[in-house]
Amino acid sequence: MKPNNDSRAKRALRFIGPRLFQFVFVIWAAYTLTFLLLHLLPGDPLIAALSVKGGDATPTDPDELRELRARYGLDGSMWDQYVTNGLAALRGDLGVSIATGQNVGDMIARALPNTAIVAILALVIGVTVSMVITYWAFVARRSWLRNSLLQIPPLGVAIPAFFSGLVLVSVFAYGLGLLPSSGSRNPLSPILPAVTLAMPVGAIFFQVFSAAVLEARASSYVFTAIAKGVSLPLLFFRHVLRNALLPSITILGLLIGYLAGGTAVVESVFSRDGIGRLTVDAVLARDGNVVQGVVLVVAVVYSVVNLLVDLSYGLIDPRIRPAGRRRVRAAHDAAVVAS
Amino acid sequence: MTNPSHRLRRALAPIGAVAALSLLAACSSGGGATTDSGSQDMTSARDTLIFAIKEDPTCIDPQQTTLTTSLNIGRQVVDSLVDQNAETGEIVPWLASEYTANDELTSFDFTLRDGVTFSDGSALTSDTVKANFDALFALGRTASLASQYLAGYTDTTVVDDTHFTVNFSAPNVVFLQGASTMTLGIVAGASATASPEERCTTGVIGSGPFTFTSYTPNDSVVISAREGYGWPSELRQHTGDALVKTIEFPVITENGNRTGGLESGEYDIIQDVPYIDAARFESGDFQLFSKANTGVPNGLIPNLKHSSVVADPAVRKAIQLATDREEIRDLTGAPGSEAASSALTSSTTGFVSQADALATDVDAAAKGLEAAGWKLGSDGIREKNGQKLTFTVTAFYAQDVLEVAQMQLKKVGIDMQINITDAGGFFGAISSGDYDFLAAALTRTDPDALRTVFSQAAASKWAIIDDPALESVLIEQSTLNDTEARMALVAEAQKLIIENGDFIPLLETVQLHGASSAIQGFEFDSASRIQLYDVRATS
Amino acid sequence: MKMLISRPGMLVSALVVVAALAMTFLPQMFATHDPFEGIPADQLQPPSAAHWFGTDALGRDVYSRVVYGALLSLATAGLAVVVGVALGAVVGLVSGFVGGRLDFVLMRIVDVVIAVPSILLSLIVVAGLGFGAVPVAIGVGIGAAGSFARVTRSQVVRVRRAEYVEAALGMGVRWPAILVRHVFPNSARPVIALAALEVGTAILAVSALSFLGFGAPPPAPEWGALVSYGRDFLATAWWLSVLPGAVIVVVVLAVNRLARAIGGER
Repeated sequence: MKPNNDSRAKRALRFIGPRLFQFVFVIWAAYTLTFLLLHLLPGDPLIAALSVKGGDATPTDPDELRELRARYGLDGSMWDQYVTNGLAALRGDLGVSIATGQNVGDMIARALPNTAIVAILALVIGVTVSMVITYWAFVARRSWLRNSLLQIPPLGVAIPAFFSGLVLVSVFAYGLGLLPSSGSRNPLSPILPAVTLAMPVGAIFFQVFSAAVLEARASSYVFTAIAKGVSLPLLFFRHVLRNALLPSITILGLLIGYLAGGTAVVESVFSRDGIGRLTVDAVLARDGNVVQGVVLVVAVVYSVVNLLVDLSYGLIDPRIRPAGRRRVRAAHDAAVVAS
Repeated sequence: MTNPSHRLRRALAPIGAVAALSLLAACSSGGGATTDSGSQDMTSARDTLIFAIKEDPTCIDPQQTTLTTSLNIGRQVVDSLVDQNAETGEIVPWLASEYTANDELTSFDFTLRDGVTFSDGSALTSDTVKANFDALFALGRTASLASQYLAGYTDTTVVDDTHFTVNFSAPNVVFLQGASTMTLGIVAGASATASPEERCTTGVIGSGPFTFTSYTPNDSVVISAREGYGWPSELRQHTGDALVKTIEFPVITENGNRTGGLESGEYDIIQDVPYIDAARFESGDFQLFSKANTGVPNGLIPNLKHSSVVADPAVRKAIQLATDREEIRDLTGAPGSEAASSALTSSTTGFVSQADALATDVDAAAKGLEAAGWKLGSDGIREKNGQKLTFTVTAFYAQDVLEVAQMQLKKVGIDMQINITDAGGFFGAISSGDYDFLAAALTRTDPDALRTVFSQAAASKWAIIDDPALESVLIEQSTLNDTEARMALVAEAQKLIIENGDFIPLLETVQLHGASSAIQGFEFDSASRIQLYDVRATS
Repeated sequence: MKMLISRPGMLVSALVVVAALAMTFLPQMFATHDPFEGIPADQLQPPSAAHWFGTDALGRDVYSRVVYGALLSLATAGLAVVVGVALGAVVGLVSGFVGGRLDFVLMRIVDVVIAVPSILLSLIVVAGLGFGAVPVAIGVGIGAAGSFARVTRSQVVRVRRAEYVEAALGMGVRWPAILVRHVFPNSARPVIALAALEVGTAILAVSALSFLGFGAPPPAPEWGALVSYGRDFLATAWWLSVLPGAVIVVVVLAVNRLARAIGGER
């Protein structure tokens, strides 16, 4: 018993160890990469950020600026700032926004739930709709019907979110008056932004999911089952669904990255507070601390999801691990392109 | 009394026509607030109003912020020492029942009215005011608007609880008018000593009719009426508590979201209706509130040191003549607004129209350029000694205004490039002096705005010009207590600026807010900012 | 040719792409008006025979602006793909070829580039280089480089382990020769397929960044900027946003359809 336990622990460690290392590395590298990009900027981040608060009275006098630079701690060497900020971030302190004077951690904590609601709702809508369409295609007896159904989701990738958002808000908010157009005060307000984001997200999920399902449909065991008189719906829910879901889960992390980016456009169109608009505003204001904070938080969320997906995948079905991993990689690459 | 269209006309009437403006109505008597409510119903059918604002206020402390959006909200929370009549420009008592200035404009005596308390229960005393000005002046450029109003501040001498004197080391022509703004609004002692960052995010404690309830950055601000308010200025329509209990200000950045939300009934009032949409809200279930901005209109501000093309006076003159301000107004301005016609807007005190010198004359522009040696090239752009007649305009808003000017200038062979950047890029360009022309407006109530933009000694450093005559006029007007003499210099400055091509006016901008027709009592102050004390909804 | 006729979808897609490319290089052949010259009297006209896509608030012909915008939108997207392929190919080649520790480090960096949402990455780059078409293209390109690096590397590794390459190495053939003779031809196909798919994505990313206001300066009629400009007019002049938006959708659909054909799917 004992040696067996021991080797299992070792095996588990060998499985988890590299993944934990990668988890830490991704976050560190995201920090470093963003820090470098932000500090290579030619513009003066101080003036840009001050002008958010200053309007047409923004200071431009060199002496005043020198004084302010010292006040915001922007006068140390790059290396000093890198180390100081990095250590502070480890303690959970993301610094202070130059533009707004607010704590970056607070700003992100405030915006995150707004974005999370929209993102999760979009994920649920997108995944559900693409599963329903795939199911219809699976049970469709006529190939032309199946093929037409399969043509629908790629539309979702081709329609820019800013465009579909504008159309949706015109029709459902202004035209029919069914849903609130903007802001986050109304409990129904996440619906339109979520539907807008669900289109591309659903389409990406669809590519992986439908490929797996249709592959199964063409396989011999489905063929045999049909010959034996098993109905297609039963087959779908009993066997195909579970097998097709496994590779699909792995692109979850990727979809979350996509959602974090997609919200930048959607939150602008719908005038909502959230991570995306926070980022756009921060980039406009060259508010480095905020951009840095957002990238770190997104990297952490992405890494956590990927770590969980990786671990759960190994746990759910250890038998298909090697084959599964290959399929996962392929699905991953396909989805990367689509996103 | 006020149907919407009447209100629109009234708000647009130029108030600069008031010649004998007594900026310093010495020793105004401390008569209590009067109401001319007449037969109007001074109750609101609804307790909560939704006022959609166009941007995050960023900092809700009215003393520190320079954003109109934030100043508009802060106005409801703090009272000022004096108030200014938006139509006549007259300064009237508010928290101070009496005030006088010495002839040198270096010392101002105030007498506070009795019985004013802040919403935390503390009383308004001379010491509170002193603490306010001391703290505000110490903030320096963090509170950049206040630092302009308080330029040269030395100290405040407290005589007793209700008498004090504010002292300056140099003449300060803008202080008293500044004292009527929310920027010099008075906050409670507890707020005056709080850190600037804290005041930005949690707000300040004022003596105004509303108090801050919550501020969620990027999302909304909520203010609530205070019970037991009793010291509005005489310019307000009623006395006592504000007429609505709560006003919510959701941050709705998209223009289309705000107008659509007003139409669908989500919002009662919206800030900044796009001019092009004005017609939709002029009648029926909606109304527009509009007031022309005061200060320097949107226009091209040159930097003679950066481009030899811009440094050529003939070029600047030709740009003045080739731009058609009427067409710019028709295409991009608010309906019914004035075409820009000077270095000040028509609603600013001391405005003198330079329309004759600015009349559009494309032929004269072309002739002037020919005479100066700028010949038409094969590509339709003029050139001289191999140099193209091209320059870049740096701006961070009003792209459509520049696009129209660009089309107009192209007709006489002038190639105007537009560099639309963000606010950071704009002020960065000013800081480094890296621009041919700036395109911007400067919104200030006092004609001293001219000095901010055009004086080479000003800290703002916008226009880089070489005009000693103008410089001395600008400096001198800022030291005069004699309003008549000062306005003569302001008129002289406007004439010089246009004559020398130091400025090419393009468009007078207008604050244009929309509301459902049920909203009553919406008022602008002298700086086109908003008073919501009298606002109410009819059923 | 026969293939095109037998599949109407492909035919239409090909026609759309050809038309878009023609507009890019010969806009004056297609435009009906000067895209920058407005007729103030004609402001905000709905679509008509004279103005197919209507006019904007300055009286400019929207259709002609879309035609002239093709160059900016498509060239920017094209440049983005080139940047992505070039950067990805270099990283992928070096990583796959050298292997070992360098491979490990490079691939982890690629992981990071993929981990940061591409629009966020583009935003950071654009903020650094300034606003405009080229910074947007570089930003979008860097965002896409990660997946190109990964695909290139996997091809390189596969080819490198092939017996004939080992044999060639054994015979003393130099690395550059192997690179040119074996690695490039073998990696080309998947990379081209990926690049074709990336074109549609790049058009969307470029127009999204322009929509957010980071693109070429006015009055450049970039497609995303046109949609953005029309936002304020949605209630009064729907055509300003809807028609340029529809053009983006049609072109991206067509490009994606062709790309999938190149990739060999069905």
